[in-house]
Amino acid sequence: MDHGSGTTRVDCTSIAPLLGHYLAEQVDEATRMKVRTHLLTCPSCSTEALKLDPSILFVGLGQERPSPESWARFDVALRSRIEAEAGKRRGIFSGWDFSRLETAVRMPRLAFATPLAMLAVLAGLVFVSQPGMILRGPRPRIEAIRPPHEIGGPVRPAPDPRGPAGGFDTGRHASLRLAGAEAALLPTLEEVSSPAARVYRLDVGASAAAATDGTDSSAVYFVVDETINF
Amino acid sequence: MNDQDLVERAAAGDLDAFTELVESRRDRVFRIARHLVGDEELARDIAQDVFFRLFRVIHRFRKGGRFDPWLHRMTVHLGIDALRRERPHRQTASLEEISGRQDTVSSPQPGPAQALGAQEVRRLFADLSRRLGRRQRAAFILREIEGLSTLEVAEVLGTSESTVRNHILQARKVLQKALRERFPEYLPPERR
Repeated sequence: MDHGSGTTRVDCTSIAPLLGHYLAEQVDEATRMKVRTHLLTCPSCSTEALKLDPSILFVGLGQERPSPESWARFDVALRSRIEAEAGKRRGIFSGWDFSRLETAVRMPRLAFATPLAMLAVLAGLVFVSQPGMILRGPRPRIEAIRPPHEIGGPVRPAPDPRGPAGGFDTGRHASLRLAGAEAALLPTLEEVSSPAARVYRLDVGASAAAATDGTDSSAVYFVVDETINF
Repeated sequence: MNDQDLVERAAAGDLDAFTELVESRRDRVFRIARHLVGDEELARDIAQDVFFRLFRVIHRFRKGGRFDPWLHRMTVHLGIDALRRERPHRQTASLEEISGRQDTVSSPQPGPAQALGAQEVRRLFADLSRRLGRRQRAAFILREIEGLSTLEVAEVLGTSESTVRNHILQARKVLQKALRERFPEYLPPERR
């Protein structure tokens, strides 16, 4: 049986030996198209092919198309969606053409990669040199605890008859010389039996005047014992 | 006006060109979706989503690029997404449903499906293709049913031609087995 017209005539006898190779995907694209086209038009060859491989039944199944009424409904629905979208785009920016702006700000994909890579390397170096720093930040510096007489703290071990009333001997630290109610807010050294321990008392929660009167304030004690080894 | 001009005009914001583009491509988009999901209503929704998405992104289409593979890829992706969402809840439409809801017009069916009714063959494919993997199914539909070339299918699926051939070979084996189980007359005489 001959099919086709003009110069593209395909003979069933030339197709039959190709069917097995066609079904096994062992033919080139041009031959595949030739066999396929022939099977779509030749009932006897397609029956032969069906015997070899029934899945040939589905070749060329795609001839259906929805009815015109169905497409009319489709068009209406699509148009309303598109108009809604176009209206959304117009809105307050009506008349603006964003396509050029989009092109202008569009960066090549790798442009983002370099700074990101540098940032990653930097973070890695910090992490290696100070593990955990990224998560909890730099460690706070803790001042070494030194005895009060070294830092000129408000220690008043014994009353000095020469000094001003309520003040304390600052000696080298004239700026710490206070008087009256202000001096009462500074810690005082309490007497304790242990020679290695010192106890400081600080009155808190009251105004300077109240602290002087001894009313409405709470005492906080600080114990310093140099024999305790942490 | 050729297809390339049409696409470029639509990409430049010409709504008439876009409408023309939809009208020229909607049959195939619908058919691909229909074969992928096996349901007419769902396929129509997918086709609408495809063209709506196309409207939103067509300005990004590269001048000189190939439009049809781009559109088919969009269709396959949306179809596969719909399959993922719908499959557990939706069964393929039954033969009774199809015959009661004749929304498609079939042209005289050429080829091997001629002997059986076209609706019957479509129903059969919708049923049996559930045994195929999604990419196998997409490859089979695009090349065997829609008649795209192996290269075009590879472009749509983002894979190589040999992978497409392999998908189709595997799909044929699965369909062949399923058809022979259902229709023993297709068995070779020595195995009947």
